[in-house]
Amino acid sequence: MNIQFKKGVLELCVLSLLNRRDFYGYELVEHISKYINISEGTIYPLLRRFRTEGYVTNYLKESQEGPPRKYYKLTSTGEEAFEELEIEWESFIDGVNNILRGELDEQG
Amino acid sequence: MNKDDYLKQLRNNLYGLSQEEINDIVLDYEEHFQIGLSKGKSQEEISNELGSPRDIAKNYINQSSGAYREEIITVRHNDTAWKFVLLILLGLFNLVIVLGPYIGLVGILLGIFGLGVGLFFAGIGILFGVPFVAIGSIGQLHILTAIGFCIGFIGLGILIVLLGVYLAKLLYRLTVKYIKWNIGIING
Repeated sequence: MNIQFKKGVLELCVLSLLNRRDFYGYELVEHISKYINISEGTIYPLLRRFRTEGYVTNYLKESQEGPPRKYYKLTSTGEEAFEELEIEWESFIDGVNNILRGELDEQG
Repeated sequence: MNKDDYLKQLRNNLYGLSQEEINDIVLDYEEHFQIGLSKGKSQEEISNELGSPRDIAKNYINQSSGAYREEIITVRHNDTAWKFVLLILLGLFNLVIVLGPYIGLVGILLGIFGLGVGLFFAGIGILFGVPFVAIGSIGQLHILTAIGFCIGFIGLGILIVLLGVYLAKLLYRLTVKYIKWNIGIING
C-alpha cells in the first residue's frame, strides 16, 4: 500500500487508541499490528513527532516485570487533532465506498 | 539481526541529530526489545517486526529537518526591520549600478532588431527598384545584382532578427534570475 497513505492511517490509529487511555509504546505497536500489517518500528518516530507537535506528553510508570515504561498521554491539542482526522477519515471512506459500491449515472 | 546490532545500526544511521536526541530515540527501541524479550520473543523476531533500522532512522531525520526548516523560516519572517534595510540597500544598488547598464543592454537589443528589420525591408525595397541611396552614384542596378542584394539583405535581416530574439530570450532569463536572486536576498 502507498506509504504516505499508510502513515496517515497509522497516525489516526495511534491517536484513536490514545484517546481512550494512556499506552506505552510496545502496547500500541502490539495492538495495531494485530490488525494492520506495519513495520512496527515506524510507530516510534510517529510518537516522537506527536510529542514535538504537542499532541502527547510522556511519563514513566513502574511495571511489575522489569524497568519503568514510557507512557504516552493525549493532550487537548492531540484530542482536537484526532477529532479532525477522524472526520476527514469518515468522509474519505464514505467517498471511496460510494465509488466502489455506488451506481453510475448513465449518460447519453 | 540481534538486539545490539540493531541498536548500533539505528544509532549510526541517526548521525546528524544531537547526541541527546539519539540516546533518547535508542532508549525507546531498547525498551521495545526488553518488553518483547520478556514476552518470549527472540531478538531476531523483534528486529524483523520493527523493520530496517536505516528506514526508521530516515523517518527521524526527515521529521527533524522539517522542524528545523520551519524554525528558520519563522525566525527570518519575524525580522522585519532587517528586511526593510536590505530592501532599501538592494533598491539603491539596483538604481545606481544595475539600472544604467540594463537600459543600455535593452537599447542595444532594440538596435539589433532595428538593423534586422531595416535590412529586411531594404532587401524588398531593392527588388522593387527603389534607388539604392548608399551606392546611388552607380545608378540603375542590373536586375540580377538587385535580386542578389535583395536576397542577401533579406537573409541577413532575418538572421539578425533571429539573433535579436535569441539575445532577448537570454536577457529575459537573466532578468528573471536576477529578480529571483533579489527576492532570495530579501527573504534570506
